[in-house]
Amino acid sequence: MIKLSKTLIVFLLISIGFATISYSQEAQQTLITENFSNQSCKAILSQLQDKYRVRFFFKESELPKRMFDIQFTDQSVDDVLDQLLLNSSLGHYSYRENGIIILPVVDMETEYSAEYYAALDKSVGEPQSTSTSQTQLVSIGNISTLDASGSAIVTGRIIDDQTDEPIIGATVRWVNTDGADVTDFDGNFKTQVPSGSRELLVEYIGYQNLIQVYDVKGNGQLDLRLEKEAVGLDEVTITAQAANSNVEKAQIGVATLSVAEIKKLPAFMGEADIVKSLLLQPGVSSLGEGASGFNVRGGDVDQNLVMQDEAFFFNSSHALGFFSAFNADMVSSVDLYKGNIPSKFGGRLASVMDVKLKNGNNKRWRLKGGAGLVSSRIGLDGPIGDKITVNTGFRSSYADWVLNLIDIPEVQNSSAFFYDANVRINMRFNEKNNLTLSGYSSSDDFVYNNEFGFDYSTLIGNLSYNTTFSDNILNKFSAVYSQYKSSQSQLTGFEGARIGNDINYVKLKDELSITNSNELRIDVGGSAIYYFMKPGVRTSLGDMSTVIPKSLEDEQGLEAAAFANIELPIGDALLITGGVRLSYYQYLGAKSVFQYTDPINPTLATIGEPIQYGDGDVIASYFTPEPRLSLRLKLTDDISIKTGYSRTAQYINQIFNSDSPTPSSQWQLSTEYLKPQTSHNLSIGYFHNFADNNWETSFEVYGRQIDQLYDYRDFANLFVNEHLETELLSGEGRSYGAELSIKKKKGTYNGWLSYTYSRAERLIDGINDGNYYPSNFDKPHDLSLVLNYQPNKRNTFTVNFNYGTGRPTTAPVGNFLTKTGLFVPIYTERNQLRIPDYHRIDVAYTLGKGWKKDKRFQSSWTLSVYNIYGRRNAFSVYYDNTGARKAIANKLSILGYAFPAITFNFEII
Amino acid sequence: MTKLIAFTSIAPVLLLCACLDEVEFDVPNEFQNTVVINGKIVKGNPSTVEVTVQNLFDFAFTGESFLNAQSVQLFDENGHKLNLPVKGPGTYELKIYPNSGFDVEIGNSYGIEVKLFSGQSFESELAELVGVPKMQKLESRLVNKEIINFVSEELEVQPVIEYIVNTSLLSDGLERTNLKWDFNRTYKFTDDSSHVCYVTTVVDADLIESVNESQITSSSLDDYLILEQRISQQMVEGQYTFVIQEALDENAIIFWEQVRALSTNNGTFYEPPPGQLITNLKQSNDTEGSVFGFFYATEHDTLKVYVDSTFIDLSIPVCPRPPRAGPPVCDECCSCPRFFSTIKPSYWIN
Repeated sequence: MIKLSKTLIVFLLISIGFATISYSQEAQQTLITENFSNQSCKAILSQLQDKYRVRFFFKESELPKRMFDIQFTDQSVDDVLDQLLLNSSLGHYSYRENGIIILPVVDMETEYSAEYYAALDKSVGEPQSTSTSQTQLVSIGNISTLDASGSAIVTGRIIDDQTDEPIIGATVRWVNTDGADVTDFDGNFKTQVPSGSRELLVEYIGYQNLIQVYDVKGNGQLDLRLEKEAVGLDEVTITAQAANSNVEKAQIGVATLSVAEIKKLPAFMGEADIVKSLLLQPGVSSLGEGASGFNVRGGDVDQNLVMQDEAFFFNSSHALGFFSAFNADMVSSVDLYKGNIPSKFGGRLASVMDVKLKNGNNKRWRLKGGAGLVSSRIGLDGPIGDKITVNTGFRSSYADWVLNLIDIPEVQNSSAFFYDANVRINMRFNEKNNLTLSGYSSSDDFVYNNEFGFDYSTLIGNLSYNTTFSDNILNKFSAVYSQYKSSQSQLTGFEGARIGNDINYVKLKDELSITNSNELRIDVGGSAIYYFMKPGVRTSLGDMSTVIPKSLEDEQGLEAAAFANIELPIGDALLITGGVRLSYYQYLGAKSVFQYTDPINPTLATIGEPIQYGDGDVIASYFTPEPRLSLRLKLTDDISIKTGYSRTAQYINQIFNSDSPTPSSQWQLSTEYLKPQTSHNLSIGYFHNFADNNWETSFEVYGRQIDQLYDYRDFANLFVNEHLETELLSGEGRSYGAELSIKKKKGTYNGWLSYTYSRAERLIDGINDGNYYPSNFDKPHDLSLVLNYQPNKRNTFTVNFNYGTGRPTTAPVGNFLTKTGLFVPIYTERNQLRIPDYHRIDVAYTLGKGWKKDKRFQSSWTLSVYNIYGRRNAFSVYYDNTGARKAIANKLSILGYAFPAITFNFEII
Repeated sequence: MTKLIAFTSIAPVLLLCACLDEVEFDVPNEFQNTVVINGKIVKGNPSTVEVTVQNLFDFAFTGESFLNAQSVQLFDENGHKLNLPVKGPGTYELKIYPNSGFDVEIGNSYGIEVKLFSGQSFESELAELVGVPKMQKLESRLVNKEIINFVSEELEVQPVIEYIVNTSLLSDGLERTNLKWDFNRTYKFTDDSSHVCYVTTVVDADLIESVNESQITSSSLDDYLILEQRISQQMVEGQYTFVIQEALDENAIIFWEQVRALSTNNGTFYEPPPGQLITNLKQSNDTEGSVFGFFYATEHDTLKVYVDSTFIDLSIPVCPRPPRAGPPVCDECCSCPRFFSTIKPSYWIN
């Protein structure tokens, strides 16, 4: 509110008085005879408005809250209002012929601009409406809420027309004004717009643009529904990539991609894959085909928090990484935080991949699915009554059927199977209370030639309850139970055995979000995760097995955290997001813990007798304050500079026994000796958009210092080892790099280029003479180029090229011979060699759904060729010392040829 | 690792498009012409020293890998030195008799120095000579076991010879010690010319059997199975099996355990990740230079056991050889002088 000098106030009062005298005579002359019983002030005003030729402008929230029993007989409007507003802070004045404005008295002393009066002029005499019909001119608000500059605050929410899901990252822009915003995680936006007739444009990938002209008269609320594009492979939609969100958002290092884009990319076996698509983003890489998980800015696979709603995964892959664990048909949004991680997330060092599922269609039932060469999927979603929606999805491979067709015994004796199933039930009790129940189940089972195999499964149950206390306060509560079981098996021979590693957890989380009119947002909350693990169980397999069964003691841990975050704009240019996460971890009994004469460096040589801890006893505890901070400085509407810092801690780690992680690599809680991993993360970036945000460019540099990490000793015995700490060495790590991204979002030709230079190194006393050495995931150069040719909305041709430096490996470089005739290989130091560089080109053609979106049966096709020039990229290198007593270094190329695929997608409504 | 790799190929196997190619690494400079030196001194009467010098060879072995050195010397902690004469290509051996002026005693420390014609010079750390506990018993027994038939690759019940020992882990100083065993054998056969031949070989070149005292709690091994040997026609006329027990210090046992891990890795998931072998040698005139191998000091205790062919149901002798299928030694065993002898060993009882 504008503060005025006394002179101006006098002028204002004179002005108002003049206006009142000039324009309100008709209203003043109206005489009112009415009798109201137990009615609110608003109701009385509404009835008077309907019956008499007078219009009231007011804020409902400012009106007296009490109920009135009141009678008027031939009283003027002024008298009526005087009685109604008695003992309140409100005053009223007339405006033109039939308008009366009700305002707090202090507001009436404010100077109003010409725009204000222009808006007021227009509103008086017109019907007050908030019609949502798109064929009529829609009015927003009323003049009483207009600020002195003549601008109105228009807030609202953008939701999916069919699912009621909030749309995150949609751009809301008032054409030819500065008023614009990007919807937040709840689909909310807030804009400031000059009053008058204004054109609103709402854009979001995969949805039809919404263009609507509004008559903005004052502050108001707009709840809009976006319809999906009829032509598009996707019916789901993903991610937050608003027109200028990369410039506007405070968060640095957020990778986003729409599912519409994902489904156009050439996909292995034709299956759209969220994780594989993220690999095309700068700073995200993997070890290649056949590698589980992904790596962010040189981090290990286990340093990514992979979440589906509030549940987190311990394995995000199917079939050893050929498919991701997420069914794209079920997904609503995906965000990958690879730089500064918001304080509400924690527990991992490198990144957070936040996958949100979508609700079922709230209008009609729909069957959808797709069939590929080795896997298929089907889903059903729709409403049950007015308040419940259901969304289900199921995927399964049928590779065994293919295997049996191949006349190779090793292949016929092999199997590769996976499935995953999702169900999500959403119950909207009312506008303010929403309950969601979701479940996830998956299983993978692999056997090679009946010799060895892996199997792992995930089971998740998730309950979340959202409560909106007011327009500005939202509470989210969630409870998760998850069970992850993994094992690896040697099926034959004397070493026939199965080794299992299971993790269960229960997670509770509550988060309160508060916003105010100044775009200030505060998030506070807390979470607790209780882990219950079976770290190692070995059983013998087969008649020949001489393996002695063994089981390690169960382990328990409790990870609790409190967090707070504030998003504070300072002027138009500076936006600060800062917060802190206070994490506290306890390693709990019952357990026997070995003691060492040198506990800093536990070895078998210094091991002593164990101490027995009782159930629930605290064996070790760690507290880590984790500050998080992001700054965005907007230089122009198209240019911003961002920086971010975060401290992260990780209390559960994966122990790899090779330079390539397997699905069964053992998860291990932090213990008395294996302290939590902690890191400092710093990044800074320059973001510049061109051509009305159609071209996005960014350049980021980052660094991460890891204070505590682990690597295995040479020749370590990691399996079912009750003193695992003796096989690991602790040290520190660092990673740093630069990322360049250039993206053209629209047009017949579009696509993007991502280049990353990154290094990830470790310094551990006892490995490589205590010198820095590259981590398993150190890939200095990584380049992705995606080109789309889209002559129309239904047809898309896509080509993508990937290049990456070969990853480090430890390999034999020679032999020597003992006196007894034994050939002994000599290996390099840890990760001293690199496998050959990786590169490939893929192409795809997509024929989207038909133009008529109301057809009951719709289908789309994707034809793709993966690795079109048949590059034999090495997945791994190994040493063959069998046969003629000589050794040969071999590389295994998982995909050595061009691989074509066709996928058929359908939808029945 | 092999099986891990094989497993990861399962998806491509589905697709029939996995590839396995030889790959050539750019071997780092430090591994080019890297020297490997192995040796040990064994206290006895006489004591013996043996050292081999070779280049780290590429994956195709040739005899040219062995290096002739300009000099190979043994030294002790007091600076006494002895030159080792050449025994063969890259092989140097010396016998040290008592009262030769160079004491070989338990508790003393010894090292080697090797100079090459290239100018490179290598020296080991001093290794303390560890006394070996005496074996109390060595026995062999015939048992039927399920083993894999190498030809049919099926499980079969076959007789094998098991060797068991009783031994203390305590050396003279009553300190527990690490043990390693080597296994040799001498078998007899009659060639086609009616010569009786005695052949001495290692039982299994790939076998390294050892015990790390830190991983067991007892101070002795009783009826400890140290070797299984498949029966063969070479046993028909009798065989002596020699078990050579040697004591290792804490570094030497690690070296041999690592050698075993590297050389016997057959690709199961449970095997430890490979690494670089430890060494106690260094390049004295280039501290950054690379060298591999190990030198240690030990004492031996040897027991032998006769494997009587009478309880082995074997009817096919080594010779006469079947047409185009037998060993050439059947023509004339003396034509292969390295391991073959027509001189009856003194210990042979019949």
